[in-house]
Amino acid sequence: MKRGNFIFALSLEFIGIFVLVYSYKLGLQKITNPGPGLFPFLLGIFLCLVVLPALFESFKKSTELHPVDKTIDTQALSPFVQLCVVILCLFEFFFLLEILGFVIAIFLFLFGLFWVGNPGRWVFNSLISIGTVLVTYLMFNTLLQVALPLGILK
Amino acid sequence: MFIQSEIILGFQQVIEPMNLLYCFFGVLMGTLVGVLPGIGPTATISLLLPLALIASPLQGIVMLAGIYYGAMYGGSTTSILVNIPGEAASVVTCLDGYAMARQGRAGPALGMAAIGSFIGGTLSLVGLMLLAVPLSKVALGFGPAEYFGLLCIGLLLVLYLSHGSFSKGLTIAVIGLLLGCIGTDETSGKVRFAFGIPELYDGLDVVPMVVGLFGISEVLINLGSRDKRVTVKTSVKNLLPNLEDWKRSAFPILRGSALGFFIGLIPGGGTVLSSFISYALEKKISKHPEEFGKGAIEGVAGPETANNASVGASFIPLFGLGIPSNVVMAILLASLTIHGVTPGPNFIEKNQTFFWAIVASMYIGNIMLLILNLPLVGIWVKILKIPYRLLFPWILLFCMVGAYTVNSRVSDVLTAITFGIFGYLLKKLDYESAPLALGFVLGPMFELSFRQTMSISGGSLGFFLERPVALVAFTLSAVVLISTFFNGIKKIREQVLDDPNSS
Amino acid sequence: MKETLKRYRIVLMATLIALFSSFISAQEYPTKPIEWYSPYGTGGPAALAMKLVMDSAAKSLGQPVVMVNAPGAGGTIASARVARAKPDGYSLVMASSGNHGIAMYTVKDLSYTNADFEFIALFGVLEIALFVGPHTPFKTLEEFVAHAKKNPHALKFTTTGVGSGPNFILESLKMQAGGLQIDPVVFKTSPEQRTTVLGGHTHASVVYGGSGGPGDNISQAIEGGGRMLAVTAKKRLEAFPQIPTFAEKGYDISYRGWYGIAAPKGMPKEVSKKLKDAVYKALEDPAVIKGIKSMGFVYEPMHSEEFSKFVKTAEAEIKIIAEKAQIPRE
Repeated sequence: MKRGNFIFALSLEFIGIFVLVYSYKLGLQKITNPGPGLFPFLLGIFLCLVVLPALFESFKKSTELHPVDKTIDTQALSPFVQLCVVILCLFEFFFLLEILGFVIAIFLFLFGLFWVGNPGRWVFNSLISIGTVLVTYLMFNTLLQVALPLGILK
Repeated sequence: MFIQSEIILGFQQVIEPMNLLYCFFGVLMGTLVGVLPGIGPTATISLLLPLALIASPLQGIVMLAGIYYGAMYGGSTTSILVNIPGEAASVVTCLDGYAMARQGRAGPALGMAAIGSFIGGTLSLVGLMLLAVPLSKVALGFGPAEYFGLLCIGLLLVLYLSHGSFSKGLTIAVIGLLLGCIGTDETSGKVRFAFGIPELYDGLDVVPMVVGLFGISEVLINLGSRDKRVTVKTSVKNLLPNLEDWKRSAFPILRGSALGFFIGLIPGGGTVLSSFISYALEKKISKHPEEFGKGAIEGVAGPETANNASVGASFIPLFGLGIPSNVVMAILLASLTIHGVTPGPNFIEKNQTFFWAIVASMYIGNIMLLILNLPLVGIWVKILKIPYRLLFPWILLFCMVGAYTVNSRVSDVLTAITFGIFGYLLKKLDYESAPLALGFVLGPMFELSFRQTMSISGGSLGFFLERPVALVAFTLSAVVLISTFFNGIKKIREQVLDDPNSS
Repeated sequence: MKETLKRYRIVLMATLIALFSSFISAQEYPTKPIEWYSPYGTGGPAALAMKLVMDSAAKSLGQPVVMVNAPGAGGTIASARVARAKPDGYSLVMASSGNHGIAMYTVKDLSYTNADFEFIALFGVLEIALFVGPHTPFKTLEEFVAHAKKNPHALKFTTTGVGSGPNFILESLKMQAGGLQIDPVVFKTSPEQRTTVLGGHTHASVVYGGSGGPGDNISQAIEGGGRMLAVTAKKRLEAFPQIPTFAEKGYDISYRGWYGIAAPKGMPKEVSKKLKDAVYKALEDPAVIKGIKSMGFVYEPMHSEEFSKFVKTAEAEIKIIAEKAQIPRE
């Protein structure tokens, strides 16, 4: 993770410099009559400074190891794949919610997620997904009267 | 000044069955609203304004106050169980509350949160009773300079939240502050850091941000790593706090009540500030600060007490000045208004029976909430026993729908996802996320109150020194700053020069 | 040959069905809940007043009416969404002097204009009164202006932002008094506007009100010790006859807060009529009237035609002020 830390810290440095330039253009004025850029400008400077220790530290070698616990659930899929699918589902929800409506978006969302945890059990996953959609519908549209987008059901 | 007969009359009014029913309905709805992130304002209002208008003023108030309290109680539940804060004030509870849940101690955490909330709420009502009148006059004199002083302390205390590397915590805090700058700068009217995206013109919304940063990222971490972070070892015995827990929580609760009450007087920001300051305080004076963040029960008891205490106090600016601290209070105010009861400096004196009735109902509301929440602890813990592979989709759904319903915008969903991924990265890189939330919330207030003070004083920095309250706040800030600074330099030197094991 | 004929028949049937069903749904409007977008949060007086109106209208419409929270960008986000929505009578928005008045001249790249909307009804107006705090010595507008002339930058005036109503009033006053130097100090909410003045942190600001009802901020400010120097109404307010109007004092400050309901342009005639009838009926409901007044609004309802004309005039007036005061677009 040292390389990761380094990349992150370096990115923050660049962001800090960007903030400096952007804020400067917004207008700094004086401390006694601050312009819109003053506060972010100071923050930008501060950010550049405060990232430095992390930047230097990530140069050094590390002998730290992550302790590995016994897993409780047997995993059919590798963690990386699980992670990717989950993130995919999250984005699916975002993109489809208003276009296709919450019923479809949530169903797909849940189905994908349950599949990650229970791969292969199509029927079970589908049933839970549908059931949850129903409960969500009841809770939000009926009980709470909070509007969820209908999408193509309009 | 307070006529005893009025007090008794007030209490008597509340004991009537219909009024109690409204109270109960309020706390029930409130708990639900608090448990579900993002649902808060819209659903509450849609449902309850009509009811509040039909009912008598007392019933309406009692119900709405119940909702407000209930939401405070409910917010801590999800924070502890699944690391999802319902709003900024619940973020602090996630830190140690969720850690306790992971160790199988969800029961005591929830229990202590409920009890602390009860005590905080009750004590602040006592304060309300005794101090409401003088305090509402003082609240008027609390201006931007004073506010700025208090925010200084608050901001500096952010640093005490970091239990890891000092500079990393600081970095995250600064990122939070910068994120708070996104949006329209009210003072100048200019839009900052929006890059032409209309959804950013008002900045990021805190609820989707914390839901993603804490809730979603936690799920991602659990799935993306080989070691499971959620243990399942709860037994019935462990549902309530044990003696050790009580001993450790007693003083934090007392301190939290006092802290929450006084900070809660500040309109808008009271609940968030009080929970953060309580956490920082407890950590600072604890004999074992390294436990904070890993399941120290003081880190739950103190802040939870504080944020419920701040609720009682926030009625003072409401009744005295007509300033609502949040949406529920605003509706409360509106329904009072429609019924012809208006806030103002003489509100309490003019409406004594009414005031006492409200206070009485809040007491009863608190009791109801305690009775409601304690048995629920058992149910919540059972939910935790569901295998994670079945539970996590629901958790994520919760987060996503919650993020959407705040403002009925999909862009908030994207915010949640983004911060979810960002939070995941942070955890992997050994940074922590709590300072980001606090920096984000406090940053704009900090900047605004400074600029307001500069406008008012005509650009004289010495203005701060002329105001006694601000001066006190600054002295305290200076003390904290200097000690933090030296501490921090020491830690950074260790971090950079010596071995990695020292951070 | 037979195939093509069959196809034509199918197309004809489909077209007829489509026409028929849209006719049907227009007849039966509304068949599902109606949504209205609240531009300024859900707890403020305007949102609650509109909710009263819409909930009452829901009774005659026979379908629930749901408030959707869509705040931001000075209320323009809500209007932008509704401008783009289908004009089928199921999406409405609160149209006010903010998002359909000031925003036209203060927001860069606004995605809508007033021509994109059909204005249904106006439900309330807020007059704006200029007031000073109890710690100040001014009893009349003349004293206030004179002091400002002699002491530039001495007086502080609370506003809620560069493009806000209070700032409009301030700029108008400064311009017409011959270029005063009064400094605006920005606070975010209207209770803060009152309390900063009453608490002595700033010298003056404005309050919105006029009905004299319990929620009237003007009454509240007076009770808190504030002194009203002038009001934007054309004639002295019934509820506050002691406050002189700006017109009397020789100033032409016409900006007021107005609040109404709008829908996207292009609704079918039947839908539009049904909606309007329901809203007009709601506006005559005594409970609704009482509620609106108690929030502080002056009850001056306008039906669609009048409201549309009013919006045009209001927009023109705002344009003049915005240009003269050179309020920037962001």
